[in-house]
Amino acid sequence: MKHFFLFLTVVFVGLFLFNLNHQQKFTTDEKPILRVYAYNSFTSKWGPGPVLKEMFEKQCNCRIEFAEGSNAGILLQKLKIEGEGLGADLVIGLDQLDLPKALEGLKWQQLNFGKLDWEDQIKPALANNYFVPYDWGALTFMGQKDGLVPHRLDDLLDPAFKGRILIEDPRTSSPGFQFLHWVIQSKGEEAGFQFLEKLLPQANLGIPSWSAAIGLFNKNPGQIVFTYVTSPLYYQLEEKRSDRVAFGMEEALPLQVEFLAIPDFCRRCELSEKFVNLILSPEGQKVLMQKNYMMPVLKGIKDETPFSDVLKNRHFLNFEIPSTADVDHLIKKWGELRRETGS
Amino acid sequence: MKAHQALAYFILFFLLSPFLILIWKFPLHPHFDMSEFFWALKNTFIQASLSAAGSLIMGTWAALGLISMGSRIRKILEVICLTPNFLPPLFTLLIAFYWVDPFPAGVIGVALIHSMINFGLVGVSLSRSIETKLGRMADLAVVEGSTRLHFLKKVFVPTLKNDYAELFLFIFSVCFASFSIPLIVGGGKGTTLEVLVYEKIRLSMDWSGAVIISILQLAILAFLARWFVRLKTPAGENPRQVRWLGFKSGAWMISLFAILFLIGYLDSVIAGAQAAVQLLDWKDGLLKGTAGTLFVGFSTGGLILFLLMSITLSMGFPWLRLWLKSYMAPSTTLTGFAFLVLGPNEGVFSYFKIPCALALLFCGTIYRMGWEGEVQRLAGQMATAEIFGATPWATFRWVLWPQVRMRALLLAGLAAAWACGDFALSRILAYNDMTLALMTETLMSTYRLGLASFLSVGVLLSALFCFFTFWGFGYVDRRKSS
Repeated sequence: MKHFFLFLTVVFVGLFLFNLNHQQKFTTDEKPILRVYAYNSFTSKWGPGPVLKEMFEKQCNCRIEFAEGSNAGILLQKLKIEGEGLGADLVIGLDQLDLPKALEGLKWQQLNFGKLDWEDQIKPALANNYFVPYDWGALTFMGQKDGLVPHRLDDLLDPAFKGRILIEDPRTSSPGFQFLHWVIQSKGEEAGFQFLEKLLPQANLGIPSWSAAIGLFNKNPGQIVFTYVTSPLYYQLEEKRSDRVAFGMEEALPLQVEFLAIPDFCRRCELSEKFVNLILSPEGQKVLMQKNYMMPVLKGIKDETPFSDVLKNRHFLNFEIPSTADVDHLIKKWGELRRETGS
Repeated sequence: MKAHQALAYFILFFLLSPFLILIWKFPLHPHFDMSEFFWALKNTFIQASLSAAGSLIMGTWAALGLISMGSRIRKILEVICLTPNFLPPLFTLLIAFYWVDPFPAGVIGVALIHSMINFGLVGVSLSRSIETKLGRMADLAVVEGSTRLHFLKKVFVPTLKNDYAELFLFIFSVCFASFSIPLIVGGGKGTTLEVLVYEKIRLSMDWSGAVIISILQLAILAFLARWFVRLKTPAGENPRQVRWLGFKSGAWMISLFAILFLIGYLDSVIAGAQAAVQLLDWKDGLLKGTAGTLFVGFSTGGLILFLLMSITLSMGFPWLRLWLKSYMAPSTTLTGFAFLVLGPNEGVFSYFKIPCALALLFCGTIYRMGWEGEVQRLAGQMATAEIFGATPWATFRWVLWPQVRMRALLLAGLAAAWACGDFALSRILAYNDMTLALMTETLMSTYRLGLASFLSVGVLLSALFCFFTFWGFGYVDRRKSS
């Protein structure tokens, strides 16, 4: 018995020291730490976070430490619970649906970047004092070039699409809510919910996250998935395959804009602003475009890149920030619809 | 306060800690949507009942297949049966999606996945019950010339009905509190209580609602457990072979399941292996992730071992036994945030918080997976040792440990393996991709499903390493002492 407990202790202490050492490698220097809260696909090896971090650390004589959350909702919760105690300096990855929630119970520093050369679609997103857009995308359905093609929302009700539509759950996923909002904006509330009632037996409308939806699509590309118009570019550039296409729809497409903000309780506020400046520089925007597969917010960045054609011949809904009451109302009605139609 | 009593209160406090922490930090308010709760409760009941029924039907077939085989093949089939219970649910989920297209979202889909995961456990457990409880009668039936169908109808069902009820309630409770499968497969139509708790926190930051739902869920399971306690399952005898009663088709079904499972998994892994060269640039991260995974696995296994021993030492308190019988862990999200609220989260603290939270989540299920029986079996010996004035340490060292080490280390190994595959709870408490499972999840969120599948092999190997380390030590320790 004692050998086992000795072994367990040695393994435990060994692994603990390894991890501690790994952390201390970065903490023994005396440089100031900029603590950035962001979602995990931003901070991952393939995301834009590590490249931006490297670029910034070269010039700031500081160190960036990322704190991750699986999505903006969880990130905001973490920020409320521990942000002030830990010293969160910057938050990256809120979208327009998170902004009203972010203003409840948290204070933010005022930021003004109005003089930059913003893309036209982004200008309405600047009408607030705290949250700065750093990338954006439009959403539509993606599928196979030679597969099922929807041209308008009503096409989704065609029996040919039954069981072949993947849409994120509006309650747990931002793209999912974008879909719900899109339907309501395109058809009006009453007709929109009538449409959704018919769509529920046709589609898988309860996928908890965008990554789960993409995962299901990759398993069976015969389906169509609600995702970003830039998604096919990933397959084209990274996997060298051009068989996936983001469909143009008759209805104007919904926009998702991602924001960053500096909490009022930041400890390295000046460094935060400098990092924001880097993100909003042409170099930073290029990194975001290439790593996040989202559109840059500044004009001229995407020119002469594969991203320049993605938005051609598409029209978009005007950007708006729905109020908490609007979001709650739609989600409540959506919940009621599920209860009435669900099993 | 005696050491036994202190341990008993510690266990009670530890298992209730997520509720206590959250009620302390976020006071409950009276606004609560009852219609939504009852809707989710209805879905949960239907989902858990169908899952338990599916597992029992498939499990019976598997059990009849297992008893029809010789001991060597049977051992292999038993390992196959228990594999889905051993692996993180994500594996089974991806394999089911591979074969069933389009996959039925909603209650049916959830029940299907739960049945796939649990039927083997039911099969193995039932096969043991058949051999220990029906062995003699089966011998007699053969001599008397009874037909198999007649025996199944007149003896099998009446004798094993309480075993069936116990297994049904066990699977029902596990599925009642299942989170990741209803979240992914529920398809919005089958929101369960666990998913509702997640939605309350994720969507509306309604802590009060989330805690109330969790408490009600716990109360419902406690009520069911009271019923469970009343069931009197007759004790078995020494096992006897009853191959006459078996169906070879059950064994074929298990073999087919194994083939489908393997192909479904390997296909994704092979697809991911083509891009695996990209992982070479991530050597440092992979090393750190592997160390983090092993640390979380071993720590969780160690904590489960400690909890199991503490439970056994405090078995003199009937209220604790009753409580454990009815206890089901609170929601994963709720537990994660409760530990996040508690104390500092910087640096190495997440390395301590994650194993503690995982041990809390696994404790109820692990206790039901055979530890309860051990506790009952040893109750008399423990009482005698106490009467003769043995210290808790002497009781543990000379009475308890030699008798329970194999099962305790097996269960600790199982918990360690599950911990290696966790990403739902770790994502809340971790600050970066500190385990391979978190890395896998991150890869999935950046389009790279193939690489994620490939990396899941690392998760699997880490889980196996942890499991066999615990199990192997139990085996070696037993041989050394015998």
